[in-house]
Amino acid sequence: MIEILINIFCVLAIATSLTTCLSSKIIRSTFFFGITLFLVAFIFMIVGSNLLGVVQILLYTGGTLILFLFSIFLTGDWDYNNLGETFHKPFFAILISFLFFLTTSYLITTSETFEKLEKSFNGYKIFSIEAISSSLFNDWIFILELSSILLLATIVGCLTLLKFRKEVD
Amino acid sequence: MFMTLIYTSLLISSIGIFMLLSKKHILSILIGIELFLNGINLFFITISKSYSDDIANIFILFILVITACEVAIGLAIFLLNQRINKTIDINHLNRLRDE
Repeated sequence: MIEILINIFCVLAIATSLTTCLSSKIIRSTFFFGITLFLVAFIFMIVGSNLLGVVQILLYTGGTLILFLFSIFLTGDWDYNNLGETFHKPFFAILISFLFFLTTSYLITTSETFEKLEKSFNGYKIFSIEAISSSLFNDWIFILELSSILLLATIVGCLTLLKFRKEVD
Repeated sequence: MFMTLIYTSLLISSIGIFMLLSKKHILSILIGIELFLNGINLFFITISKSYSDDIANIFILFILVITACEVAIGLAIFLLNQRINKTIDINHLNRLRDE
């Protein structure tokens, strides 16, 4: 049952990410991007990482989608050249992404480590939220504080950037 | 199941790379980066299921924080570029240097 669910969600995630890339309008692209994030969050939950799934849906998807939507609404009339619709140097981009996919797939299929990992894969194990939070607040507290400082610096940076006004002569 | 998740993550990352390289709209480029990082997150969580280790969850939480920061700063630059240069083309971002 879980395998079938994972297969369905994987196919849907790939399809929606492809649609994100190929959508003709940026607003549609953002909509399908949101669906992709939701599907990836569901995959996280199915494989047993409930905390990450909830964080991805509540904080990450909500936050980034609202940011994207507000940016589109604030600049809606400025896409005169239809930059969101057209592809620039698509063959080069296809070549690079195809090369990335091929090399990583080749390395994964030929690697002995990945064979061992596939054998030891336990799809039914649920990650303990207690263990994650304990590890986060004990072993990784310094990095956690650094990330909070990074968030604070982001707020200050955004405010500084958007406060700038071009002086009219 | 393992290989399905691995190939899904690789495909999502590849689509993200394609979007990052082929679009000129700043929002599309940011969405491409997000897709790429989401694929990497999925890869991490799949590997961590084999190791039965919680560490990937913590790494992914940090990746989500960094990605959210990157999106916020990217969109602020996008709005600034639109306000000053009256364009959303990424090729005109260097004009901000002169302001």
